[in-house]
Amino acid sequence: MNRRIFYFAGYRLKIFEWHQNKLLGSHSFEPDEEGFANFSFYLKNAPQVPSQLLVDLVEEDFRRENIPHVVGAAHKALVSRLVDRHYRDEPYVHIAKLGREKTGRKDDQILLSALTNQALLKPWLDVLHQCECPLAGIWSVPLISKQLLPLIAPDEKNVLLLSRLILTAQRETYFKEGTLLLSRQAKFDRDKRDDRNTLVSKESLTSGVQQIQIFLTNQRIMAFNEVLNVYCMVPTEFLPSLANKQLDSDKVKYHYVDLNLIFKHYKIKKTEEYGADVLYSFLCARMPLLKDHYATLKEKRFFHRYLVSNSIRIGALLGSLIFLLIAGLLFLNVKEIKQKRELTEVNQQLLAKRNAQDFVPLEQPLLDSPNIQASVELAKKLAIEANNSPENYFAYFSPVFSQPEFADIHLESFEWKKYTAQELSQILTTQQASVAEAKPDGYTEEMYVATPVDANLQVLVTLSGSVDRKGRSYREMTQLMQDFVAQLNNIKGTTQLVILKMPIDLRPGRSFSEEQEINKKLKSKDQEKIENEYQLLIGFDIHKDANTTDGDNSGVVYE
Amino acid sequence: MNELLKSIHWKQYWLSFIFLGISLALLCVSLWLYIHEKDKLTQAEMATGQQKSMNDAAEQSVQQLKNYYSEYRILKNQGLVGEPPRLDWAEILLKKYQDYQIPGFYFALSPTALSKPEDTSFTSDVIEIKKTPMQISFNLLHEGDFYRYMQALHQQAKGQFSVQECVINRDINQSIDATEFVPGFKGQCDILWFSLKDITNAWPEGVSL
Repeated sequence: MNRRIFYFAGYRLKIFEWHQNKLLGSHSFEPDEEGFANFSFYLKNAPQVPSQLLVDLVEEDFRRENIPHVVGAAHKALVSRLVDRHYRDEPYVHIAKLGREKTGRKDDQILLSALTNQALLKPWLDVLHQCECPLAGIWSVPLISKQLLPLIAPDEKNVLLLSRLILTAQRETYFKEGTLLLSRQAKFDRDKRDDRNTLVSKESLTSGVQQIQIFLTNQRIMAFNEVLNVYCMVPTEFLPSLANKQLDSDKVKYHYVDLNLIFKHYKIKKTEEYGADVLYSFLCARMPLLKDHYATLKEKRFFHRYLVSNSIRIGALLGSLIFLLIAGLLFLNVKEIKQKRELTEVNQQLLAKRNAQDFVPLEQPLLDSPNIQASVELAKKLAIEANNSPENYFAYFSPVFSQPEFADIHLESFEWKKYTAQELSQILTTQQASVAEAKPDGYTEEMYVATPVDANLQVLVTLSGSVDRKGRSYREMTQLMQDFVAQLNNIKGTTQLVILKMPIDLRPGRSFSEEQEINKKLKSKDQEKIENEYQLLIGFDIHKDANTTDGDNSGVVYE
Repeated sequence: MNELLKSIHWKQYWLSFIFLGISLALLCVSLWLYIHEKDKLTQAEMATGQQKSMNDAAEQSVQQLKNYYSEYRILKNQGLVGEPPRLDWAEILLKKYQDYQIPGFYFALSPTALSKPEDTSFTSDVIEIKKTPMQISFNLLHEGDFYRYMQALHQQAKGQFSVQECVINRDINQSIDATEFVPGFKGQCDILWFSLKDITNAWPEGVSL
């Protein structure tokens, strides 16, 4: 970024145009009507760039003060009081913190400085104001000269920097341990003001230095035995003549700094002039724009406007670029999405085409496919139910009836009926109701206890017949029936067996009577048969495999 | 601040603002296009997803048909699926009666009706089951004849039937040692013939699987 430095040393005003390390050009304007007009013309026609006013004035006053170490509002109040005391009506005042005292109550050390003659600056500031120049601030030569110390006298304790920025005077700035304590502009005698050689004359070098050295020792800023190192910045062509001069004393030591070397150090390009004013304008151009020494808000208003204007311009540009960038990215994205959508649509069309070719002709069969499956599965279930047929039960009962010990038990009626689970449940529950009352002697607990009615019970077989007693005792008959029932109960699939009627029924809930020997011959065959009848209800779960006869006894209920 | 803003010559930025406006307009247009195109893509993806789901479902149905249709055709040929083959039933009953030389036989075929839940353990909400009640009465020389007759019916009759109730009594007028030509048993059975509705009747002609 370009910087424009207005250099003002009390009389004429110089402009230095800097672009980084390159001096683009310089102009000088006299303080007369023509000079102001030219200056105005220049400002109005030159491109607007951030400008800085660098002043090197005799009327720049420096004061060192110690104040108690306080912070915040108290510090501000103390400083304000000091400013009021020394520079009550001065608008251009600068306060710099130097540090703290090392002894005592360790007060804060501050340096107050002010430009005490506004009349010198005013005509130039008026032109700047009229031309709406974006003046960033007012900088002071002594204050920015501190930048040179690390380069020319990095380790010296007491340094006096001498430089001649204008022909009529030389600037003398004293630094103690790197901190600026005082500075003054020493004017040359009128007869020597236009003589460049004055710079290197013994009188001009030593007279001012001696005064300062005495002042410093009197003020006890320097001890009497301390050496004051004087650094004179001079153009290269004067260096040989200075080499012959023996100016050093036991209190003052002179060093000559080649300005050209400093320019080289800062890599300053394309400069025809190598004066100290060029160097200081360069140092000023390096300063941050937002932190100057003296300018008030009034002087900086056009700079602030410049900043806002530039911000608006840059903001608008950046915003536009960002919008354009996002828009460009979105357009690219839209293109990609469009391609993807077209591809998806092609896929969808292919799928639809395949559907139309392969599946639409089979629409009704495909819709019916679950019903086809349901029909097949239903047919299988119906087959299971159909297989549960009474003739199959012959195979279950035959092995029991054909056993030799049950040869006297005759089957005369076989009733087989399917019930819904609910119906069968009701029937068997009714039959179970009197079981507790009907528990016979001699039957095991397991046979007695009825199992809960299974919801899947769907077949009820009723076996009826008679037993040929053949002289068996009551106990033998009871045992025979007990064994018979146990065998029937072992048939696989049997879930419940209820004895409705049995010969020699001695259960508590039953009546039993029999005529004795003397009347036996009078009994008819039919009468005897009726007395020896049995009737059994057997529940089957048709969903269980009834073809095996082992295991899964459930229970016997006696009615 | 107000004073600062007032001091700014806004007119000098007209080009910047026009450029900003144009770029903003472009951004809006591109954003609208983006949203619009994104919507269309979403719709296309949804349509493709739906089409794919339809095709997948159709594939599954095809597979379902492959798995079950051959069995269904067998059931159809066997007479379980379709209209009740009442003539076939009457014929096979008579034929088996003659084959096994059953001394006495009577049967009564009732009208066909829709099956009720209590008729069978298995019902279906989607498949219509028809039932045809039939009663048969018989005299038997031996209980084994009942077994053979019923087995033959199960194996050879068209369709599927389920015996609901059967009573077989020894004829008490006959002695247990009766001669082989005198019936010793009387029996009576109630059976239900089942038929499933043929779904394929509604299929268009010429459909080949």
